[in-house]
Amino acid sequence: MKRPLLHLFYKEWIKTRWAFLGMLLLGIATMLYIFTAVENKITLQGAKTILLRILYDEPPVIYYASFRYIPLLTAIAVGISQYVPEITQKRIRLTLHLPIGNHTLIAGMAGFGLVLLTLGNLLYTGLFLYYNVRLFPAEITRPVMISLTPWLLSSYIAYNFIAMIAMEPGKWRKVAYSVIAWYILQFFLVGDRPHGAFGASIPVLVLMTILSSGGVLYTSQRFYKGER
Amino acid sequence: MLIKIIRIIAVLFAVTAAASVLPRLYDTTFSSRGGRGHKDIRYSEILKDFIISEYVYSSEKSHTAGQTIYYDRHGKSYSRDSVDQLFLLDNVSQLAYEGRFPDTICGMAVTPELVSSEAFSQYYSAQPGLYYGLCELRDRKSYTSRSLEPRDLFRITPEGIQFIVCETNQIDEEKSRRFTTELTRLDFRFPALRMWTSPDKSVSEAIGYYVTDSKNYLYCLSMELSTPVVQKLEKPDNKNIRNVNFGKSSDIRALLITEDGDTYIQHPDLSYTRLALPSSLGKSGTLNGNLFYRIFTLPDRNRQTTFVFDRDFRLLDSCSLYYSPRPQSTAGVFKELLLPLRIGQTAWNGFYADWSPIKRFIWFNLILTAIALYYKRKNGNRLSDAFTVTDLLLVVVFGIYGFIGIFAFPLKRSQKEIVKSKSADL
Repeated sequence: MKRPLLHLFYKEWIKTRWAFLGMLLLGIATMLYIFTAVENKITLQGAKTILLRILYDEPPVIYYASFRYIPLLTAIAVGISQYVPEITQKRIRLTLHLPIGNHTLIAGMAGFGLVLLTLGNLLYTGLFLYYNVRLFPAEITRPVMISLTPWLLSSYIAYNFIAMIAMEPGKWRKVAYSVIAWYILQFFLVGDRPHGAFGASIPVLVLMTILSSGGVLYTSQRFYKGER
Repeated sequence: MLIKIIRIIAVLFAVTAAASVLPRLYDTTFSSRGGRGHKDIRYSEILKDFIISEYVYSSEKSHTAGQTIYYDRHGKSYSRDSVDQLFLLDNVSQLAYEGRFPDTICGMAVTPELVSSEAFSQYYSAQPGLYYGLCELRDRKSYTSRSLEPRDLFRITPEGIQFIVCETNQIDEEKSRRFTTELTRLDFRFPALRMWTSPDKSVSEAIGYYVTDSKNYLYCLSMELSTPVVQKLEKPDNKNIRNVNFGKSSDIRALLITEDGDTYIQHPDLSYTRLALPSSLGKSGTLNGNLFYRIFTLPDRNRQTTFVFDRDFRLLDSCSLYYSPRPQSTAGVFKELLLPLRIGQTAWNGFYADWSPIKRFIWFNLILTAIALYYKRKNGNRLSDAFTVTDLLLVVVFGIYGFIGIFAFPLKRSQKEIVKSKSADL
């Protein structure tokens, strides 16, 4: 990897580390809370009762519901800590004068954020799988992982829109893009349905996530061209 | 070029967001559907014919009132009191309370208790329900001792049946081996494709599970005093099973829907009767039973058909009730004109896009395209530019959503284009 990009990543790490680590801590605490609550219920009501309730109760028992907004909050924390101070304190202008192409620079910043979110999501998923596989059979773990996927993807889409909105120079357009982001996120933050629901939506959600990653390049171009 | 492609993607995001939220906002602001009276149909054991009840609205001096009217297929009207006398089986409690319940109906001696005990109602569907492949097998004799209460759930994998002890999340090897041996003895080919049981606990205990193996053969799996009870069942007319609904009356063990949409009754002696019903594929219906009849109701788009069978499941009569399409309000017409598309997602079928009829919205979309074209020209965008044309096409197809999108994400001309257009002006 080119040396200036490594420097850029280090700069981004310094900006985002506390927000990211703080959110990781919150995410891990939420995960521990979820499974402590499950184990407590197993002790009180019996494992078979809990398993049958999770599988067949109507409305379904979504024991992992408190996790829904954790990836999104992680993305918001990383996105805001990475872009907002740069924009409000106009440090981004200095960054854009570094001896790297502007598109490469912005893509590097966004790429760093996405790598950070991927690390966070891998940690959450690993921790979730560790506890879930220990307590429940695969027939529960598989559909539950499908239900978690849109929530994990929501972090990327939220981050991409935060980066895009932060770089947008026009304040009314910032509002318009926020509204668009909010309603796009509604497709991802779905819940309260039986485990494994929205599995058919996942290919479209993945496509949306991938396509949204370029948005920051569009607004950053408007930013450094001074468009309104 | 890359930035312009990214911009088109951003416009499509705006279209998706607008098409998911604006129709909902519109519906909550304006009522886009008109009112419609309620209709129902019942079969009278006295008349041997259908009676239709309809709730109709009448407006007199700006006061809207509603009343239920009754009529048969030939248009003959009935009063409320006479209708009560035509549905003795349905009104048994009220008639018995008033001391008006007859001693015989259609020549058969009856008592209120007999009529009540023969009445049942159940829902059935051709669509299999939620299935995770992990089920509870209850012992037929579980009511005799708590020691027979199972502590495990089972699944049928390619290796055999596995009972998972819930407390430890470990497989009970001994029990699994016993059941696998019994299933293998009856030529069961692992894994199971699907398992069905009754939601009724006592039926579930007595019958256990209907299981289709990997070769689509049908088995009945249950347990008695902790030992496996497995039976290979005949398939109705050797057809593959799509869904099984267990019966609620003594003459119906199960209702089986085959993959071609046919409906079969499985009797307690495991014999089958094919019902003279249309294809049930993709449908859910109701089955109502009484002393004389088994009545199936299958809803369809703007229609429901009721089929009356005797107790031997011979079709006696059928009648379709048509619902006129809901009258569309002015707000509904404007909705189709303004908002040509609705995007959403469902839990099991993923994303969907509902388009209004093209003739409703295309003219409005063309007007919006003309406005967009005017602004594009005013901003100096050249029509020979592929991205300007794409913008206009987005407005033609998506109407107001595309219009919002292209203005939310403006298309700026490159420096080269500006210089070129200026030199052309000179």
